[in-house]
Amino acid sequence: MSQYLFQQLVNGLALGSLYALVAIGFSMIYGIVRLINFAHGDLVMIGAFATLAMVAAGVPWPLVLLFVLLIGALAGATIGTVVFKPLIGAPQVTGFIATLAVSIVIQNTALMILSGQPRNFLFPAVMRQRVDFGGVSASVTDLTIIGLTALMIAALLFIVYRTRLGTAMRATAENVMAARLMGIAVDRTIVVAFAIGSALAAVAGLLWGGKFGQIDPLLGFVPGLKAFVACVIGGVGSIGGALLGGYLLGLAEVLFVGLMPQEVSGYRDSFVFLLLIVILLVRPSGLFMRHVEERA
Amino acid sequence: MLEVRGLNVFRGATHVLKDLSFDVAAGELAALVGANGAGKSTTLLTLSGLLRARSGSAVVRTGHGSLDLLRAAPATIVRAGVVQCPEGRQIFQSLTVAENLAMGAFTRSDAAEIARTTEEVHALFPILAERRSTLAGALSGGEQMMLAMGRALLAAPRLLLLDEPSLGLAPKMVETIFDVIVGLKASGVTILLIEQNAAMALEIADRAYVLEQGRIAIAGTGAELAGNDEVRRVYLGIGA
Repeated sequence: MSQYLFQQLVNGLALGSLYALVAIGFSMIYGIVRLINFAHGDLVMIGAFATLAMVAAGVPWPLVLLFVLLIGALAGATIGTVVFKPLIGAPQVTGFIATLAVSIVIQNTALMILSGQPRNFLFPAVMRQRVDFGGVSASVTDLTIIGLTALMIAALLFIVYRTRLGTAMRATAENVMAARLMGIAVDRTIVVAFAIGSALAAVAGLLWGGKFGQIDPLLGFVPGLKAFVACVIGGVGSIGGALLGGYLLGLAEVLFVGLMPQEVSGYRDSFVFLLLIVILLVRPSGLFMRHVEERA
Repeated sequence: MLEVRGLNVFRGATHVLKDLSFDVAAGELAALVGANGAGKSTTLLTLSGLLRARSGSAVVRTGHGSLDLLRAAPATIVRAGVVQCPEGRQIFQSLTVAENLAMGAFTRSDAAEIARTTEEVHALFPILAERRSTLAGALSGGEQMMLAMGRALLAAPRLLLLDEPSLGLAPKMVETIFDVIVGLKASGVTILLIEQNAAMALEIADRAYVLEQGRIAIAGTGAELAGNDEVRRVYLGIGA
């Protein structure tokens, strides 16, 4: 394989990993509260700035990762408790507006505290080295993103499919009334889904900063929107769909940039949303969902 | 076991249950029959804590103390042994049979006890053991009903609330389910049964109530109601 193609593949997988991390949380939250959470991307920003602050304070990297997970979970649980728990049973549009409000509040609070000036975000020097695979090479940063994401996803799938808590989450996502009749505390389940999804988004923020080298208070917008596209590609509400959608979107985007002539490749974001429109026209319930049942 | 007094429930602006009072004694099978919209399901959903009552009380007394169901959270109600098998089965279709049963035991924590109940349910409905790894959505209607019953039994009910267990089932399956209900009663579970199929319900009920527009219209033993002229005419479709 040529170095160019290999590099594109690694690049696409790394970008896809970031999209997948954000998209999974998006999908989990949608699955449980039937709500597109527009504030989800802002958790990416919170994760990135939390990392920046801790690195500046000299916290060692493994601890930074742990704390970012905790901060993300705490922020998500807070949003779930304060904003969405009181809205259980409210019309969907109320929840939709609430997510927009949360997003605006987070972004503007961050702008006030941190200013809009982009900050440099540096991973340790070892991350900027390249690993050689007999003729082709990849950056340690990209490999870390791919590996760490795979680890996070494995942990998430374990929680969702192999634990009682995860089973209760899936049960609640499918049938709230039956879940309550089993004695499952639905409001607590919602908060847990917010916490887990947000923790993953915050880690995506840590990795996002490391990959692109600069962060600012509005950086959550693009990953949030693209995670939404990834969810639509895979079928909203399905964790597996969000995962595949994320990777597929990352690869497609990198392929577009890599293969198109220079004049066109600058339109990568337009390409992504064109993809969204085409998929909505052709397969409105996602590429991997056979059908969507209407819920009463 | 259960004492419902002066229960008033509204759904939206509609006054569904009007000063409803009835009793279920420990160990008996009580049936609540009545037309569509009389308030049967509303009664059960209120007893399970999913609907809020405007006024009244619904006190459950077990060996462990008493609890007013109208002032308790759904999880507390399940823990007290008041368990509902809801109308339309409401199994978790995207979960496996085994996961559905595990969710039935959600409020219990003793793994050994849960394993024992699971074995009992498997003995009662062998098909659930056979298909434990199957997604519940792939089961037939009858099997789904057995799963819904099994799931309710995993909560270790003392008072089992059954909402229309015969709905949409083939006659042979209805018989199987009713046999199980009679067996459960024999094993000491108190049962409050709601049925459209009034004839079958009255046949196995120790005590029965006819619910009309949110009120108890007629009360008596199952046999008394089955012999009551009005019940025979209106609900059993016999005579004139």
